[in-house]
Amino acid sequence: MPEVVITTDRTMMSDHHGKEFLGFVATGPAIGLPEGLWLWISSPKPKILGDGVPLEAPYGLRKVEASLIKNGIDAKIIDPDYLGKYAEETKVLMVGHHDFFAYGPPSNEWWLITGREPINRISFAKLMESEPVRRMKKNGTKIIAGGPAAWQWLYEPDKWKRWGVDTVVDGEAEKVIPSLVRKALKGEELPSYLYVGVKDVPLLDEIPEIVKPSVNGLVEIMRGCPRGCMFCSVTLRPLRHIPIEKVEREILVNVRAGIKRGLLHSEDVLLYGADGVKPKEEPVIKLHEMALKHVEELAWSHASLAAIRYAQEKYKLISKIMEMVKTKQDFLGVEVGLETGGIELAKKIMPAKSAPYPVESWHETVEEAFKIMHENDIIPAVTLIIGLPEETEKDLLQTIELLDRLKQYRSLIVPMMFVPMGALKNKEFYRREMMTDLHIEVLYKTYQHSIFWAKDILKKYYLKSLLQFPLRGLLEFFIWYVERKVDSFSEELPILSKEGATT
Amino acid sequence: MSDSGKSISYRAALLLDKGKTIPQSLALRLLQEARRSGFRLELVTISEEDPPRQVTLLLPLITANHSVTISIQSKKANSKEDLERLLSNGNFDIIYAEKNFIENLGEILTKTAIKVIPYNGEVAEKDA
Repeated sequence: MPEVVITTDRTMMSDHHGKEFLGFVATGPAIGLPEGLWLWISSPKPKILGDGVPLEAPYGLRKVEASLIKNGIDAKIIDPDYLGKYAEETKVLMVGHHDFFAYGPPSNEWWLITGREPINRISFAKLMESEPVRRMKKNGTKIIAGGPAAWQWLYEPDKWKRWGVDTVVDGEAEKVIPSLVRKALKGEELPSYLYVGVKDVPLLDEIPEIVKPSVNGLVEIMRGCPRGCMFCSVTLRPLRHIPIEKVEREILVNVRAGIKRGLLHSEDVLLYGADGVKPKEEPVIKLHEMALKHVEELAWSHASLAAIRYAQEKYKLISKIMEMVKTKQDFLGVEVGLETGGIELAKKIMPAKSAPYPVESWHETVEEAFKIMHENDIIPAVTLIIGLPEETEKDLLQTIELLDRLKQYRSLIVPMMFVPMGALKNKEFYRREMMTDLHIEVLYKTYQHSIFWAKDILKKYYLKSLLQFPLRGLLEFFIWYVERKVDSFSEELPILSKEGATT
Repeated sequence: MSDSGKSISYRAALLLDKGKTIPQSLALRLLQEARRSGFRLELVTISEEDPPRQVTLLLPLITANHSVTISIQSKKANSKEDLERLLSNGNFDIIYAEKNFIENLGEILTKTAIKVIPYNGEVAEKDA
């Protein structure tokens, strides 16, 4: 039995049917479907190897596991359904999450719009209140929570106390976690909260390589981001490019375990090996050649619109990469950040988002990048933030104009309400009472855009194998249901009627 | 702090009054001292509050920080003797005490012979 058990709830411990994007379904409440079915769509139970050890586990948990193992600590990731087997022996229980309490985007907007708790929040609470976790706590197990959503515990002190969480770790944990866990194993007093600052962030050679497979073959190619957008926490981290040999070794950990998918993780995949914000052709091509040598299917986590435009204009790099990718698959999925169409707002909160192009030409950069992706079968899930500090009516009108220009390009645009993170973490959360008519119009436009293109994507690209037909049917039903629901209430909102709308 | 060896840090005790956060000025001062001491801040908070709530009373510090490693150890002091023991054995560089502590427990604080700086706490906003 391991001394240290690492786990998370079902919404995270899943391969999401091999489609990372489906994991986002768990950020909403069950809509038009029973909760169990909703959870199955987003987060089916992963393959279990025995004794509750999942074949694939979230990459962040794998990094923590690797760090502990490297330091001689007996640690294992266990599926949440099997914690009972470990309840008597576990000395330290570590829980990680992207969104413990659904305060992060996009969970908080589905919660705000529907007025109902998202599934990820419900699922995490179920884990912490489960019999095995309660039994562990009764037996004196120390509980350490962490991950990108660690900050959310600061707004839930009652649950923090009730669930007996001893320490919350906020930040890159690989370097600090072994000593913290050793303290816990020795029964020494633990800090209640630990924020990892610049002196304790791991250097490149201190980042351990995963030793077991990650969900959907996700591997990190970079850490940090040079763009410095004020609403983003990643940008506060020092920028590190992971050497290609290290990336390859992690891909091979996945491939040898039978995970033939690869997901290159970076805040901006095209900046791999770049100097500053201008993509370079050679490192990006080499990275893709290496990855495609090993995997049968490839995806990107994030790319920036400016890098997409620059890479194509300068090197025809997007076409070259997609020519390689299309030897294996029909399309490539990625998340990109549009964030705002407001030029003045962009100057204040994300002045380098459009670099190397001037921020004044942000609309042109966005549209050009959308066009390049559309023509090259890259399907982006695009984030757009409303309620940013200092946002004006003019910013929202410019956002609406930009959304109109983007209508013709295949993409899913996901609106998000401002959550105070990064350099803006001392600002106020966006709340329902802050919603204006223009916010509603932005939301409605993104809804119309995304529903139109979701149908197209499902028809031409997504879930095409026979085995995936039931899932595809459920998603088609969901789209149908949402359209009916939105149609019924949009008639009651003057801003969305033909007379009231700005278009 | 890390496995990479012994590190220097600024170590302070914070005596928190129930339901009162620290002021922004104190948060900035702590961060300034920490940056001068290897970008590491070790805080021991002492209050009648439960440990998680003690951490939330430091939100002005946590939200103002982007670069300093902050470790917060929260302790409940149930009696004057508890408080005296915690302060005397804590190896602190300094003690920051909410003014109510100074008024009620000045004698204990004097006994510890550690520099004590008073501050005015601010009533915490309701939780999210």
